[in-house]
Amino acid sequence: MKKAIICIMLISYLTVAAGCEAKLLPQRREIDEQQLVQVIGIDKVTGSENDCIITVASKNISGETQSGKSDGGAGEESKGKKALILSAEGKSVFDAVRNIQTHSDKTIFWGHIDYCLIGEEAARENITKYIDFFTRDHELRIDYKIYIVRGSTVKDLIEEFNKSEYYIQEKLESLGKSHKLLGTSDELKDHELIRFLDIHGGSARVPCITLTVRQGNDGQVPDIESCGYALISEEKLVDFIERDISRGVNLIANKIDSSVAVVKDMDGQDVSLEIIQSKTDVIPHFDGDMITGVTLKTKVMANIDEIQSHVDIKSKQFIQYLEAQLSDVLKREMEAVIKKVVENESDCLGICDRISLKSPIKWHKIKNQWLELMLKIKYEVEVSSKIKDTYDIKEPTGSKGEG
Amino acid sequence: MKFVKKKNDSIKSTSNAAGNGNMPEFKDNEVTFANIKRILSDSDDINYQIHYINNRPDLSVTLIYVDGMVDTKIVNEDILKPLTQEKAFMEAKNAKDIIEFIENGAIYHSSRKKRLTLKETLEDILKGSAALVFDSEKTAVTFEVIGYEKRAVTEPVAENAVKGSKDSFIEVLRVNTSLVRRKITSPYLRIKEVFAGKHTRTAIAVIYIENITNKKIVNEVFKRLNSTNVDGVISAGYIEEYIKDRKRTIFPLMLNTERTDKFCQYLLEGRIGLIIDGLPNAYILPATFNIFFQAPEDYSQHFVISSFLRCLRYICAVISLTLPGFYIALTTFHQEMIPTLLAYTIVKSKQNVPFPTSTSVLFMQVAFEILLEAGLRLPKYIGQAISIIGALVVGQAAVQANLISPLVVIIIALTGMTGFTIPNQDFSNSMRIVRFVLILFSTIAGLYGLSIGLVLIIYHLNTLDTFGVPYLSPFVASEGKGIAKDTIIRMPLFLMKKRPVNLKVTDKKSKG
Repeated sequence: MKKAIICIMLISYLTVAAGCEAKLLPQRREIDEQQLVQVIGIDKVTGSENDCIITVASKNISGETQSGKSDGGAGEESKGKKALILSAEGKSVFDAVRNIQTHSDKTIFWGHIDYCLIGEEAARENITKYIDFFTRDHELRIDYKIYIVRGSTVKDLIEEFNKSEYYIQEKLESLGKSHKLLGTSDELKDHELIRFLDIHGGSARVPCITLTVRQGNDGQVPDIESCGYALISEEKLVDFIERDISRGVNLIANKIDSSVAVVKDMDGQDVSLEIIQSKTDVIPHFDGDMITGVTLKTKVMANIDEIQSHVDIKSKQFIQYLEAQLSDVLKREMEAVIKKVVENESDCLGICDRISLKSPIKWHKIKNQWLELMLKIKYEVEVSSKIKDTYDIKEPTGSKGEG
Repeated sequence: MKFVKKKNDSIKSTSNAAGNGNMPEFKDNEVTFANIKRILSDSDDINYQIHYINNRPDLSVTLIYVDGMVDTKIVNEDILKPLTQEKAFMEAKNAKDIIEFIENGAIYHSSRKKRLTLKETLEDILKGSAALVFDSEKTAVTFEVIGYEKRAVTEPVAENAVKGSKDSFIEVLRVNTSLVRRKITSPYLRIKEVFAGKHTRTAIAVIYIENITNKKIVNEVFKRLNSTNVDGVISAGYIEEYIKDRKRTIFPLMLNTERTDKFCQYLLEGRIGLIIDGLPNAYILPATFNIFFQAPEDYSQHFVISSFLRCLRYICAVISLTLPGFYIALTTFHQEMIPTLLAYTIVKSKQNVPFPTSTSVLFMQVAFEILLEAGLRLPKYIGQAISIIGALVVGQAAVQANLISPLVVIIIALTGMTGFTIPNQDFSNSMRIVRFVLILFSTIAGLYGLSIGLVLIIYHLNTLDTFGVPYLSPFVASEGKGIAKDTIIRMPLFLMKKRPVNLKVTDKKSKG
């Protein structure tokens, strides 16, 4: 009996000692009484006392969707298929998050958020201001992916896209997988972003998406596509790295898994090369303790995936020509990226991290001045490409018939 | 080795022989027909017959036996026929000579005992012997002529024998001991009988191998058996509950088996066996936690397969114990831990169900237990059909009526199936109860409550010991010895050279 009483007292003590002040036991909530939000968007509001508008999307299990506005605005109903969309304004993100609860018949649960979309205007004002709540709050994880929406508000993007046949979370997930194939963008998680911002003085690069249209079965349907990177400097969006040169970012950051480069052969026809491997070494040059320049040496391996002409590809000359073409293309992209980054004074490429690994002692002496130095030093890009394989066939079809 | 007796668990030990299965002493202890008839009174199944030896009226003897317990053919051929026709008896002058001739083999029966006390005579008669009572000499000669109906040795019912001997114990003690003797022909095998039960006087055979088993445990077993004070031993629980160390634990502290090969295997490890007359099971003690997960087939298959199956049993035991509580904890308290796609599936399946998750799980678990219990009680020819129909129809109907989520049905079915992988039914039954406790803890405090429940269970298991051997050994209190040999995995037999360390056996080597 005595032991039983001691056990009960110990259990009660453990419960209290867990740190819950108001409630002794964890909060009970049935899973079907919760709305599992997967995508959240933040837009800046102007012309009102509210600062931001939050839009959330969760999977529409029961087949109905509704959207509403808080703060006295007349509610609008829009019929969507896959997602249940809600939005609410607030003086702060947290305020908006609480206000959005009034539009739902279930308790909104934030623990399943996969994507956080930040509007362009909000990012231009201050990106960390809008993601602080999501990083700080205990209910959210910090492994959700962040995108900046360009060309429209997040609310419009989510609502428009809901008219398509896809669910927005699944579309974004598919987009993330396609980055590995295209190499022109990348997924960025919240914890990676905040770490980058902390280490690089408020600089970062955030992948961008935009609302577009594509041809569907019944005409044009809305779609989402990736459009490069947004440059963040001093926690504000300053510029964009367009999609045509955004591969340069991934090359410098060693984030290429695969990519496609289209070059011209000696006959002026297109040849598609698949980049299968790339590695960029950052070599700092020091004059004493002062850094004078950085050389980015990139080695790329590619395969010939498509030839549109009938050139003899077995010749060494042809291969070397293609390799030189590829190197030129990639070098141009990388140089364009570096130029943009330097112009916008954004330390978003992480070059300093590589310098600190290569020359830690010298880096230690210059790290406090890096943001100024990076604008002055000379950047050199050297790209060497190697073509490895032509896959299943060597000679183009029909090439033997030509005399 | 300590044998700790707790205050609340003390067994009433009595020096009064009347309570522990011994025949009480009688006032008039003379062996006479009148005394026997007076004590046994007018039972219609007791036969009293007066016979003249060699047709001589001056030499009469009373034959007494219990009708239905003796083989009358043997009585007629081996006892009565020689009494009447044997020429040796012609030379007898008095009853004393008769008794002398019988003792020297004039009657064709190998099992004969001379009884000088009423108590011994009555014991023999009531156990199936025929007694020849000589009033003038106040002596009886009893012959063991047991002829009551008994079951043939068949395959075990509750424990399937996949690969190994298929004989099981039956209700007759002597047949059971002979089955053990056939497997262990060692001259050191000891079979010692004690009696328990004031009215049933049930014989209990304590079996052990003298040069292996720890003497202290043997002595403790005898001590506890001799101090039991029960009316009768009709079912196994009467002995088990009286001699085990902790009465209030639901975990079994003695292994119950009906397989002879399993019984003998544990005797060879240095454990002690108990066979109770009238019951078709035997007990092995001390029984530690790991032996409830062992099956005799583990030693008939390749060690890799056996190890895999053992690991599977342990995993299934954990799943069976914690799955319902884990499901309640995740869906009610920790929804962020569920993968999103699975979470949506759960939400979809739970739509329009009016009951909270914990209520549904509890309801289904109780229904499952009812189904199991009903399946046991129903007659065999309709039991199986009712069980299947009950499970399918009721479960299906409940899901379609949106009373229960289909996922809950799957969880409970999985829980039940994994529970049946444990070879020992007693341990599996105790887990059924513990599961409810964990469901309750999870309902109150989620994973936190589940963890507390598991800690309490492990704490409780750690406090148990059985005849001085810690219950969780060799996982605890063995300094790591013996953990890797024959617990979760089974090493090849040629590497298992020593007996279990926790039993502190006399002969530690198990080979040569």
